[in-house]
Amino acid sequence: MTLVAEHSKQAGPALTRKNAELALYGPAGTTPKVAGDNVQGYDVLFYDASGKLVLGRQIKTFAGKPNQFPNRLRAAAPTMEYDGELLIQVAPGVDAAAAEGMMKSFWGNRSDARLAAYQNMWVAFRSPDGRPLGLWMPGARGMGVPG
Amino acid sequence: MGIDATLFCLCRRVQLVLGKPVRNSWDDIIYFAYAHPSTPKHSQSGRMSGALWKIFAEHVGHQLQVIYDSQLEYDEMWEPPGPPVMIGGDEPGDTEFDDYLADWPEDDFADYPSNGWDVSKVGYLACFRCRERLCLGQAVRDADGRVLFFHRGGPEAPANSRQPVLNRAAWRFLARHSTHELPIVVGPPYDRETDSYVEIGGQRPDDVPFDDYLANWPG
Repeated sequence: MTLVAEHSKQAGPALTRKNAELALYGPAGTTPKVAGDNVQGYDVLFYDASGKLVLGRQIKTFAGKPNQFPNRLRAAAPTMEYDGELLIQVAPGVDAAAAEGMMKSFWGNRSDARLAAYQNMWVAFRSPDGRPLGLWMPGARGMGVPG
Repeated sequence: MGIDATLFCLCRRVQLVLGKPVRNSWDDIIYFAYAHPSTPKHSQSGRMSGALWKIFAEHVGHQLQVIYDSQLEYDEMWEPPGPPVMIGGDEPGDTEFDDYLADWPEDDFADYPSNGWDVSKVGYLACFRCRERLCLGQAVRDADGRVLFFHRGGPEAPANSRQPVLNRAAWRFLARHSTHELPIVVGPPYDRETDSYVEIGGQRPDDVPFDDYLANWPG
């Protein structure tokens, strides 16, 4: 599986097969394309029938301390031009409340004006076995669903 | 996929997010790129290239390192004297690209005599592990000896960050030597008789010409 194979080339927590499969599900009417190793772009791109890019999805695994999460998000966002979905596979044992707590720490260090830059992004947390642990809009303080 | 690279100075004062590593068929990392399709390559981005060359100047005598966010070293960067300022970041203490590059006199090399700047020394970006280096040009230093910027070529040459060949070579050097410690050294020009480094863009028989270094490089 391309996504799993790509991810395994670097140190750190491995992307699970389940989450790699889930990452290929996108907006209705779109076709996913995996950027691949030697291609610049989001990890998964979703195109409509006319060839227009509808959604870009970046995938990261995160097993660091919760207080390190805001930095990961602020580092990933500019690479996405603050646009698209960041899918985060968290470590085993992290639950929806903990994922929400990580988002709160991100929001807590930014003014509303700062957050406005993130208005076209959202963050989806998943457990290693693919359970949804929250879908949050980093650009809107407190906006989202916990799990 | 999933892994992003960041250029740090090991003084833990600065970071520049480089994005994901793009690999070739042989699994070598050939360049770093942001994910969004509309984002220009770093070598074609004035703000990324400007920031890179200013980091070179500000961190003379330090070591740079491209670190992936999956590495233990990445989290160590947040220990004192960190956290490093993120260029283009949005946390308190970070700096916007425009602010970072404001008033930086990289374009003013031709004025060095009237400004009293010293250009007697040369700067290099080096990789000790691979014994390769890239000449950054003359180290333009103010009256206090602080390096303001590097300039390769004569007064007519554009600033380094806008010299396509040299700038691309710098970006390729970072990609080829990711995770390696890369010191920025300033001193008299090196003599091949006294070391065994290969110089990218050098003129000696064992050096690698820019044309070869950048041939078919997509970055």
